Amino acid sequence: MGFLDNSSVTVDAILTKRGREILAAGGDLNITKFALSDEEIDYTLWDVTHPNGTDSYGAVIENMSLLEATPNRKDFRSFLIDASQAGQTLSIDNTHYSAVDTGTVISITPTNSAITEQFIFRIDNLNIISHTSSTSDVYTGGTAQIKAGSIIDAATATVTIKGVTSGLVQVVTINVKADAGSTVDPLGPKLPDGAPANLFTGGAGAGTTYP
Amino acid sequence: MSMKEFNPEDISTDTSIVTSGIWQDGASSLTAFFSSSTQYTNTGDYNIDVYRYDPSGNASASVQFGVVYGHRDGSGSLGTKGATGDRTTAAIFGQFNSLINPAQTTAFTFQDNTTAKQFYGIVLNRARMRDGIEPGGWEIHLSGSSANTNLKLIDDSSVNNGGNDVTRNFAPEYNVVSGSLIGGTTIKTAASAEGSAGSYGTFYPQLGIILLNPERLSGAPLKLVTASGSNVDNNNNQLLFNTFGNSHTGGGPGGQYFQMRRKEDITSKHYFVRATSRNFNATTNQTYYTESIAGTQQIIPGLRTNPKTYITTVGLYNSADQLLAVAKLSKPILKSSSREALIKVKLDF
Repeated sequence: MGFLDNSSVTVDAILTKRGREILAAGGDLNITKFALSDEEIDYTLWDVTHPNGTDSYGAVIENMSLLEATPNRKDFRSFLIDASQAGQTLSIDNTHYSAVDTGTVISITPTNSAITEQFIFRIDNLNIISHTSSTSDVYTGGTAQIKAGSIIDAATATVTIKGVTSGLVQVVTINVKADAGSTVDPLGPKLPDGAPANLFTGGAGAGTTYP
Repeated sequence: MSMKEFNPEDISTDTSIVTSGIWQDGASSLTAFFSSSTQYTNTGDYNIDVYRYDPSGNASASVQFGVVYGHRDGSGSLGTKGATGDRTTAAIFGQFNSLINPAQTTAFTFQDNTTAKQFYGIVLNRARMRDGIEPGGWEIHLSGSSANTNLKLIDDSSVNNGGNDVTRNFAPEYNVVSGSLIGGTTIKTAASAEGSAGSYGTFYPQLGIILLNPERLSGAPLKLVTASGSNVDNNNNQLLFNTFGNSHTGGGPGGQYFQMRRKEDITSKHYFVRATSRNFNATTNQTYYTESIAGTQQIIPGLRTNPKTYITTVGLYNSADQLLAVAKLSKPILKSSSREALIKVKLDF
């Protein structure tokens, strides 16, 4: 007589930088929801020609070892979603902006192929770019206005865009030119969430709007 | 939806006590003791840093604990009132006295000895001890340079529940007594039976400090003679350090043994992540799809008629959609409409 396996999978979580910041400020994490991701999975490894049959189609995926969690994450590249949302796509006019002048405002308007939804726009480095309508690294809405900051050396930052409903993710990279009058190190200590952003109000290219 | 709300019953909290070896590499006992000539030259008249490995030949050697000697009048160190000299032993006495004893106290109490104006201190490295020392979890062997001078010391927490009923800035305070943990805790002589010289010392688990009473150590069996010259550096902390490493053939093994465990209160929060049969059976992962000519994404053949996904990562969010914690699985977990997954995510503080 055998025993049924009634165990659950137990995993240890690590705090992200944002989680640490909240604890350091004396706040409560107040975790209210979760998301599941299949990052690192390449579904093209699903092998319908495996000689051992259907049970082994996913053997290559299931036997792989996963990377450890890292704290420097703000979101994931892919999410598990409900089957009814399968096949939706997220479109953006431009996913890369090169040599952007200080003060330039870039407008990003994603569209979901199937539904109308809001998007979460998350900036990874507020020293380089910022939201015009928020001092936070996160802005939720239909269109984001991203402003290039004033930095001493040219540098690149990313804006991760996630559909609130769909979970679809796209990343836009923005390369900002150096500003001779700046003293801000783009790779220096990051501005904390909610701090006044490093915005430049003049200079060549200021006020240009993309696209 | 890519995110799912936790139900109240999906979150639980518990606090557990975790004990572990305190010494470098997680060892629970030291059998070799080293000091650093560089440290001794610079600040050795205050304290001696003790290492598990020889710092002169091992770059990873880290400080395990420090040894100090304090005297209220500054005896055993250079300097007197009104003269030059750091009066290091007086500085040590004042430092520990103000930390441990209430205001206006001018002497330490070691059971029946209530006027102790000197002490030896063993001070654990803070990073090594973390929250504190486990009472009843340490034992140190001291030995003089001659045979039959071996002394094994432990604390009396096994019989002194809650610690001494005294006024101190920190509680609990336990007595240091002769005895051993090996083969079960055995106290050879209770602190109250030590006589007028007092007990062997006191132990403060929250501070990571063991104070030893020189007046009792001067008696049998250790017979450690503490010098208390005026305006002279007697290197008394070196005297105590030597008793850790002394060994000789007569009277059994000498010192060379210091066992200790640290104790931490770990608060864990458990999040039960439930991926039910109807949810999470598709993905935004682009390798899951092929793009048709019309621009509509189709699931790749093989998964199209019987969709399956894999879970590799769990993200925990607050109500502002900020990712606060990440948990990675060791292997991908298969998810489909005929399978449910229950993942317990543990977050320690």
